Amino acid sequence: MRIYAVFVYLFLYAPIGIIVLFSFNAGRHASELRGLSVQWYGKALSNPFVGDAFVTSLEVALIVAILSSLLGTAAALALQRLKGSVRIFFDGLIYVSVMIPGIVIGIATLVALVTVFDFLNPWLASVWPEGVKPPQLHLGYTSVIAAHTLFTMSLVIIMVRARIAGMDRTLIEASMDLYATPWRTFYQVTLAQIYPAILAGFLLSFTFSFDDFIISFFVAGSNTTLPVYIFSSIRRGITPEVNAIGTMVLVGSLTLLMTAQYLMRDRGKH
Amino acid sequence: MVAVTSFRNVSKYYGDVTAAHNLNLDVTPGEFLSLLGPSGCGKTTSLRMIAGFDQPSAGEVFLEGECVNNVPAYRRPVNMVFQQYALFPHLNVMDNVAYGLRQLSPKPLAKEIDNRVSEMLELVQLASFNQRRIWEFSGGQQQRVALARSLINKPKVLLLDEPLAALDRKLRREMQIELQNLQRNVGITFILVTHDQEEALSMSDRVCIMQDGEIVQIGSPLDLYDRPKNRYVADFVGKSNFFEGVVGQMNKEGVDIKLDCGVSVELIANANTNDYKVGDRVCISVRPEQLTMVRDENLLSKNIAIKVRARVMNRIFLGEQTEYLLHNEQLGEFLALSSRRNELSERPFETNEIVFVAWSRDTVLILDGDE
Amino acid sequence: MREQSNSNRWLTVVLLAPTTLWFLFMLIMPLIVILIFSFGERAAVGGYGGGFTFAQYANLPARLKAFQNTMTYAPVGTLLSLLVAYPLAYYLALKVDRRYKLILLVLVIVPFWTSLLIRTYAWIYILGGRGIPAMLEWLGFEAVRLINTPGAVLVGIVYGYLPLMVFPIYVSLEKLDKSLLEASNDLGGNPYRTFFASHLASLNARCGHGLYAGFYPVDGRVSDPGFSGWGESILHR
Repeated sequence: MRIYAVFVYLFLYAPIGIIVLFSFNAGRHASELRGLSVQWYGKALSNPFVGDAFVTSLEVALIVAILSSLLGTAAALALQRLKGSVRIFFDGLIYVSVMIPGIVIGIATLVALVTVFDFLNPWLASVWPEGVKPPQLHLGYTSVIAAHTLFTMSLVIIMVRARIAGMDRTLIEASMDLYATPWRTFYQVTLAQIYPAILAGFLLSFTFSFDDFIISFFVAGSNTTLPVYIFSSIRRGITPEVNAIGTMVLVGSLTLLMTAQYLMRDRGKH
Repeated sequence: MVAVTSFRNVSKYYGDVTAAHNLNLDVTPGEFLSLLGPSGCGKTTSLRMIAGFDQPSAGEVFLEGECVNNVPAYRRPVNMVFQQYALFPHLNVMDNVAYGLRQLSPKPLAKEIDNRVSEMLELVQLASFNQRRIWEFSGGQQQRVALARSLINKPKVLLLDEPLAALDRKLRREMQIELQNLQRNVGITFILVTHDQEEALSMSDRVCIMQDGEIVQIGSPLDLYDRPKNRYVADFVGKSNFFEGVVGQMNKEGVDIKLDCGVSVELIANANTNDYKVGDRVCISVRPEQLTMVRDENLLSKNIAIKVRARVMNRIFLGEQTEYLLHNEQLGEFLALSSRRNELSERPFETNEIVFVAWSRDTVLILDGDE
Repeated sequence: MREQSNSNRWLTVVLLAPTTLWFLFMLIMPLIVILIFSFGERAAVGGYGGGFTFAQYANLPARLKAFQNTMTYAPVGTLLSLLVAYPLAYYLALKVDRRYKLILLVLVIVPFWTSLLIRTYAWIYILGGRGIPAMLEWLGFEAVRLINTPGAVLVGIVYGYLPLMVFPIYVSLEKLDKSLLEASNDLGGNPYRTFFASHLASLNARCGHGLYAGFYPVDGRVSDPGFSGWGESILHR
């Protein structure tokens, strides 16, 4: 079993190895290795657009992950109390929002938001007090976050609900019986039982949002996320600069991960 | 003395289903009471109403003289041991046992919690196990952790919902004895729900027999065995042979009962027989061990209520006793128990052997007959 | 009691409200707008021109091939992802020491923090002329064409959807801790039967979710320019 796991990780990291290798390519072509150099790292680091796009992506992904895990968990808890047609209705919406292709939701959201904004902006301008600059609704940060969250929130709901469904109801009664108030019971028992699902949901949401290109491409407006920036730079011809960016993200996150693991090494030992 | 918990006309309905009907019950402080009955008789519902998980549809539940109908479960000074233990899988043994203490406000000092947990684990003979994860424990050990967890707050009443049902037979016997000792040591009132009559009779001070959401009879195990109120109780508490009939003649010394099968039974008048009058439909109950089986009818005493010939149909060896299934043309099939001592003085009865069966005039019990 | 159930109802509404708003504005509204637009006519300058026509639907047969591709790749890809993901999720959930669970789980998604596009390039390199085929040749085997084959597309699907499969399965299996298996052992159950009973039950009840989560995006996204084939078309542009 362990050998199998090692193979799956090898499968997952095989292309990553190639990415890292080519980031040191001296040549300017992505598919031909011509000596080693770190020049592309310098290029990537000195490129202000890369930094901006990275920060935007990070912010968007973090907000998406936080929003999805909070709202998704809340919804999962509420749905578990519901029965009948309301429940079926929500189940339907959840599965639709998971199954719907990114390209469809990207275009649909773009079209819908632009239509709504075209209608709302003149109206806002007309009702706004004289002399004050009326707000201008436009695509950007918020629309990317909202569009990503639709998908990731549903993922969280599905995972948390699987967890709740498998939970032993008598644990809650046992907690109440031992003098824990409903609120304390919630965070000492219910939350303690479902937190792996919330954590997994958070990580998956972050990953989806950080890596998403299609939806962001349509609804990001002028705010460029990293995948969108990379796509546009590829159009001008792909260079190992992109690999260098990927490698830096990778090294950064692995470093963070190891640090976290090191700091938490004493917890959960028993 | 104020009852530690009581029911006053308590009923519980789930839609059209009656789970409990007009229950009245007083539990004495410090006693070990069992609620005994088949599944669906309302025993678990009653327990849950004391714990506060279910609210009565009508009537009042009292704890130490105060009505607790509107008191939520987490404010009731009672604790429960659940059928599947309901231990918290994300906590270790120490944290499971300490759970109840940590909910108190003000929260006890860490040192005191430690001491109390050790004390409890010692009580259930699990000292030095406190850092273990609960899944490393066997069923019996988990049961003990559950006990320690529910006793740590020194509840007024400990509720036990079929706590031994998940254990195998041998372990169950051990835990029964342990539970009984534990109850005597801590002096806390125990209310045990069970469908196992042997368990209820062997452990409890009093047993409350329930049927279809109602309490049929409450009494000590001996009371219930010797003076069951009706056929249901007699049948539930031990085995018995029942014969339907009508009260024939009655005088100061005795009662004659004409059984429907044509056999006549003479009984000695006592408190039990005085409840009936001539012409009443009754049912007589004879415990298998009250029957005497002999080969030679001259060995029977004169003081017998009935004497019949019967054929041995089947024999079941039970260790210290042997159970015989007998058949008589008029009485039909019935059971008799013969002790090992009898068997040794004579040789055991064989299948198909014809024997004389009798029972004495003072051992038979008269119960209400069928409508 | 009545009061309590009332406050419960309010709690449910409050908990569900944000999600409802999201579905309303980010899912239902855009889909309705798209539906309306799909019946519209193309304006002279491009974009929506109002009107009502089925003209856009008349074009659909031309896209039949894409639909067919989706319909064959999606189920096969899902099943493959499940086969690859389940043992890994099982291993992570039940066999790994608690201390390393989280880090191993995060390691499953770290590759996806690089960019989809460069991962695609990397796969093209691995499956393309200078990757595995060259390696096979070097080892003395016959070189095979891997890139732009159905196999390559499936590798792409499995790779891309692995986290989406592993995580839900992990979450549902991790719950099934050893105490459950232990408890059923005490009831005298045969350990193997116990294992398979609880195992299959959880697979059935919970993997359904993993399957849903995994299946549908595959369904939709293969019809996006196909994974490996698409990358190459960009390369050779």
